[in-house]
Amino acid sequence: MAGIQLVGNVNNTTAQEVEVNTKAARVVIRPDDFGSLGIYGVGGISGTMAAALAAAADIFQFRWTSTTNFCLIKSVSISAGSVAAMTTAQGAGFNLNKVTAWTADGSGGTTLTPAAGQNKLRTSMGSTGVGSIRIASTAALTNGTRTVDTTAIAGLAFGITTTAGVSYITPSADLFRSNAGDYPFILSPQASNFEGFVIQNSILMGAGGTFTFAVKVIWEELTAY
Amino acid sequence: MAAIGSIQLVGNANSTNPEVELNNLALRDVIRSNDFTYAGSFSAGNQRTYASSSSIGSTVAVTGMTVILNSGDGVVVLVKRLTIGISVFTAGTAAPSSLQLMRAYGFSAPPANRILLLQSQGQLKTANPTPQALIFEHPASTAATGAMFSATAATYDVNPITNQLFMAGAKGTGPVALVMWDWRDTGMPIVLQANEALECQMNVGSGFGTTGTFSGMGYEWQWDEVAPTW
Repeated sequence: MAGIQLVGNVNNTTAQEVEVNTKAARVVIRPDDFGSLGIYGVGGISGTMAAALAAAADIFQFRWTSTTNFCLIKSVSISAGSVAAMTTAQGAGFNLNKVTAWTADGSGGTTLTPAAGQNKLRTSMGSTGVGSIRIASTAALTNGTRTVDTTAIAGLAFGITTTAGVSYITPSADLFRSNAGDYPFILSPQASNFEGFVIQNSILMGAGGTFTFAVKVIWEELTAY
Repeated sequence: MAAIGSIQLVGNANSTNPEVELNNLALRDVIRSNDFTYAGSFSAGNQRTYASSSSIGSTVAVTGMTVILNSGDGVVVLVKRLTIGISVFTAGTAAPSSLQLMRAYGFSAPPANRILLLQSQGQLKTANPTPQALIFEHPASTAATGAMFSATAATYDVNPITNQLFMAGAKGTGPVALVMWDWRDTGMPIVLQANEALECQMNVGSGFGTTGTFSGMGYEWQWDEVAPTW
């Protein structure tokens, strides 16, 4: 038998091609089938963070409050640098922790939650169902009521010098990334014990000096996964 | 149902059977670009040097640096990648600064006080047509302050799609290579329908290079233009 051809759906007279030499079938990558939902991105920058930021202090919060849809976190990136020079060099770090049973939202900082119709990667997508996104302004965010996983999903260590205006974390540093074929970080729908994630400072910052940081998140929303 | 015998797929014009790997039993695939039908796949960029006297070095909160916009009805523009390179030439004030990527909708006029990047070329394949997307850039003049579109000319999202923070000002800073957008993050490009735009803005923050110059906005946009049904 010579073989059969795989033809399309609407294009049902078009057969898939196979390369002559590598014997590879041609495919094209498409995004997840988001239906009436969509794919979104948001970025934010903190204010000038005061000195002596405590360990385990929240600097970024992402709370998923949909009762029906899944949120697939595709990437979380962070960058940071000094504003006023630290008085003492030290090691530092940021962690990304999953949060569960998030029954009361956090507070403080700057809200980045997209308004209806915004931050979509295509206008025809639906509005995001994310409950709240916030980034610290000058001090740690208020936690709300929730349970933070003991062990972080991701961590990033960096050094602090006594120089002003230098990078602590270079741009495009990933705290988390799920490329095509990787399993994403999934926030599931809950009736009330909502899920989310936070970025926390992992080591007490020195008493002198200030810094600023930026976070960007890209996520998908699907009815099932 | 009783098992049927093996069957083999076969290609289209190439009447070749695809291979299945011996050990991991995976079908061999080769990834192709989008089927852009009658449009094409493009890349364009430029580089400029900005002096401290420009709006970049002042205290303007947000300044539009480069924008890609879809001014036609016949295609949608799939923005696949934007990269920025920055290198400080002469010493300025070392301080945090950032670039942010903002969506704009329903623009009614091209950006004021910006330069249109000529795109007589830029096709990734010679047979592609001239792109329909237009790219404007900051001209390094003080007149080019603020966002590229006025409030009456377009509507922006409140928050950026993405941003990047970096340190600039001190001589020798950088080169900073910023990936502002890469479609491989999600497998989804940023889609621009007619009269929509994507703008990269400098967010000066606490002051950027107020006494120095920098080679800002060595930039590159990569995009596809495809049928609106994509």
